[in-house]
Amino acid sequence: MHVVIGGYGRVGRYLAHMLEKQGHTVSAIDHDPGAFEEIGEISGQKLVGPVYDRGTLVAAGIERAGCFAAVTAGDNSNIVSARIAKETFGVANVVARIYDPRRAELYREMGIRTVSSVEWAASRILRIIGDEGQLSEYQFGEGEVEMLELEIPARAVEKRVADVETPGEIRIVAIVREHAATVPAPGERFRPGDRVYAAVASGSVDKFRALLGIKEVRR
Amino acid sequence: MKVLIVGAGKAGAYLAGKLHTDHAVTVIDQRQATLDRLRAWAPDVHLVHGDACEPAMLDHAGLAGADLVVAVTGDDEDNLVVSWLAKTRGGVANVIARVNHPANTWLFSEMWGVDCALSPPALIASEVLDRIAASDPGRDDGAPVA
Repeated sequence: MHVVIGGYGRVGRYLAHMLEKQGHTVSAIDHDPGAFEEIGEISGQKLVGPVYDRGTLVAAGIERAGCFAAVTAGDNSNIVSARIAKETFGVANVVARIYDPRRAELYREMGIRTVSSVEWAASRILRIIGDEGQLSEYQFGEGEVEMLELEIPARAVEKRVADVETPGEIRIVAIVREHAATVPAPGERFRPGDRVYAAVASGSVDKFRALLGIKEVRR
Repeated sequence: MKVLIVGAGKAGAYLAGKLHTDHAVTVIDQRQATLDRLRAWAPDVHLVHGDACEPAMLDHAGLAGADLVVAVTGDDEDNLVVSWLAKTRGGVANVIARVNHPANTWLFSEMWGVDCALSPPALIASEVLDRIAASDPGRDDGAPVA
């Protein structure tokens, strides 16, 4: 597959190398010629220009690209270039990096999948420092459904799986107990130390937390 | 009319100065110092300090009631995102945007909610080219020489 990468900063470079290692072809675009002076060659094309410039995108092979990744340092450059890739050039798989999590809604309205470095880093750190209210690591579709992972809080121990499930909103997918995972039956009771994985509709995350007795955490 | 101007640079400030006596004008800019300069010579303009590409900031600035939005920042991608928000979120009837770099003119269309795109460099260039053409004797389109 041919991948066009808009933005050749740390994420763009790392992504380009990983894609080439996997056998894909890559073209990278950056408005700053200095971006390409960093050590670490890629065999793909490097083009200097605005990431949303039509001529530059065409030169980068956007018309035959299976994927476009917008990873510049500017949310608006990412929004504009991602939308052009999707709508003007019909690229099947378009993904954009977001700095400001509040912009996620804009991308959702445009039907562009996003990765929020801020949210992702914060949620990983929260997990490491053992906060109960987990943010999601996985999203399905355009983010309508999230996969939440959390250690069962003391208040929810002895509750049954069915007590915290809601049809169409919340489903317990797996429990990891003493290093072994199971897909639990509705009558299964949570035990201390359980790691729980739940598929939750994005609008029902707070409800899920309430069912588990977790204090409100801002998302 | 309720006019929302995004970008308090030369174009935005000049426009606010022209309009504020007859219209309700709001200007949004991220640069406090730029807004302070504008305050000095257009005291009754409503100034909002913030990022107009944030939906909540636009709402706070009164997007919902605006009759006209003018996006005149120095960044084409910002003008496009503002225009798109003005049209899709605010349902604004008239959206005017500045094209800073003529190469980006193709983007300033219905796709981004732009009703009218203005490109100062393109306007200057076309005026210059017209003058050159008019004064070039080789381009005389008069009757053929007998």
